[in-house]
Amino acid sequence: MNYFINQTFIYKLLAYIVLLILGTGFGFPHLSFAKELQAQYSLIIEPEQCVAMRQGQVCYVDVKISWQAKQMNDYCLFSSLQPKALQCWSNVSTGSFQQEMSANKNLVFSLRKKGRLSDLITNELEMAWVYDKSTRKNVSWRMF
Amino acid sequence: MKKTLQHLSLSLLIGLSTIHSNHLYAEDVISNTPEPDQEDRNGGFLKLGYGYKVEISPYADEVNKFSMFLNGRYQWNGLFVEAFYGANERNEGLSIGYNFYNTQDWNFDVSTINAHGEINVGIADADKMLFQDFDNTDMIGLRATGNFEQATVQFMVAPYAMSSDYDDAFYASMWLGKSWQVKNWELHGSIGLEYRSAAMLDYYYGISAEEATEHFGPYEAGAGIDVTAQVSASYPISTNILFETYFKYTDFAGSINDSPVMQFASSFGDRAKERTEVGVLVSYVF
Repeated sequence: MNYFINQTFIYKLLAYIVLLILGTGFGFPHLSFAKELQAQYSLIIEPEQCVAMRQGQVCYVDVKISWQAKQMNDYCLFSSLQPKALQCWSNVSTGSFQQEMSANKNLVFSLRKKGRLSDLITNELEMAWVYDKSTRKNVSWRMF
Repeated sequence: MKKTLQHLSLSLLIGLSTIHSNHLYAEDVISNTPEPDQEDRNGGFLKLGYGYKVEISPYADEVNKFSMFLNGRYQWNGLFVEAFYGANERNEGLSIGYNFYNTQDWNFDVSTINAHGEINVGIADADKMLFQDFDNTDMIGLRATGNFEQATVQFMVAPYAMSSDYDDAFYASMWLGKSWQVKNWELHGSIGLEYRSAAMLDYYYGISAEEATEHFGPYEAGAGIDVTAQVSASYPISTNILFETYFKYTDFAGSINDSPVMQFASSFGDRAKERTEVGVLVSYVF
């Protein structure tokens, strides 16, 4: 009886190990597929950084975005500022977009196929500042 | 006219401070944010600038050249050192102090202040020389600074002179500063009143009967208030580099302007009765 239980335990353990190996095995091709997908698209943001005077302030930036895909299709550009697409294009493989934006958090831009929810590629516009909040609390009385 | 301006500025400053105090009280009731302790306040900044400056005042010949600007502050466990030499900030030189009490919006310090700079003048009048050769008056006092969103108010009372050749030196100041964000520009305006006691001003600007010459008669200076107004604009080029420009104007106390020596000095060459300073510079923030 004890022998049987031990054997079941070993089988279960082996099954877990096999599942783990298979899971990892499937995981890697999935990751490499994502990398291939990213390589098929490019999303360039200019400038890469928006600099405000103080941490937490709204930063204003004239964003220029250009994207490229290997295949022609219908694409839409999204930002983290709004759920609605910034702009959509039909049957193209490149596009560009320019707009003045304001934010106090990093802005994430993503390219999607029209009508799809998954991002084909994303890129980020970083918010930066000269004086952080703690600095201001200490020095603002002299920053007249 | 000058006195009216000074009284108006004083009333405005007191009025605005009162408004801010009431506003602050309402916020204090609502807010329960824990106060940062002294260690959280450790740190500071250093800003080095280089740019072009034009300065016209009664104290020196016109400055019209490229200049260096240095502004910095560092605090460690309450002890702080401040160095402010021109540009966008007040121009008070080096001071040290201790930040002994803080609330959500107010900081209270004991601090040194250069209450008056040195004066070295020698005037040959007929057959007599008039020498005005006086060192700085460095004082120690209490300072309270309030930070409210985009506004800063500061009061200082300095009753103790650390080293002076005269008694009864007294200095007090009130400053109000406010900033506005326009896109990524920061615009700043401030007004300040600086009171100096009769003993202090008479030490620097008075002329005794023994010192008096033919054209520089005896003069006793009373207490007075300097009024300074400043506007500035800063733009962050990167996280370390700022473009800055500023304009400062100081209307000196009547008892300073009325001094025979200052009247002579202000008419000398490119000098003027008031101090006007304009600068454009690029600064690096460490």
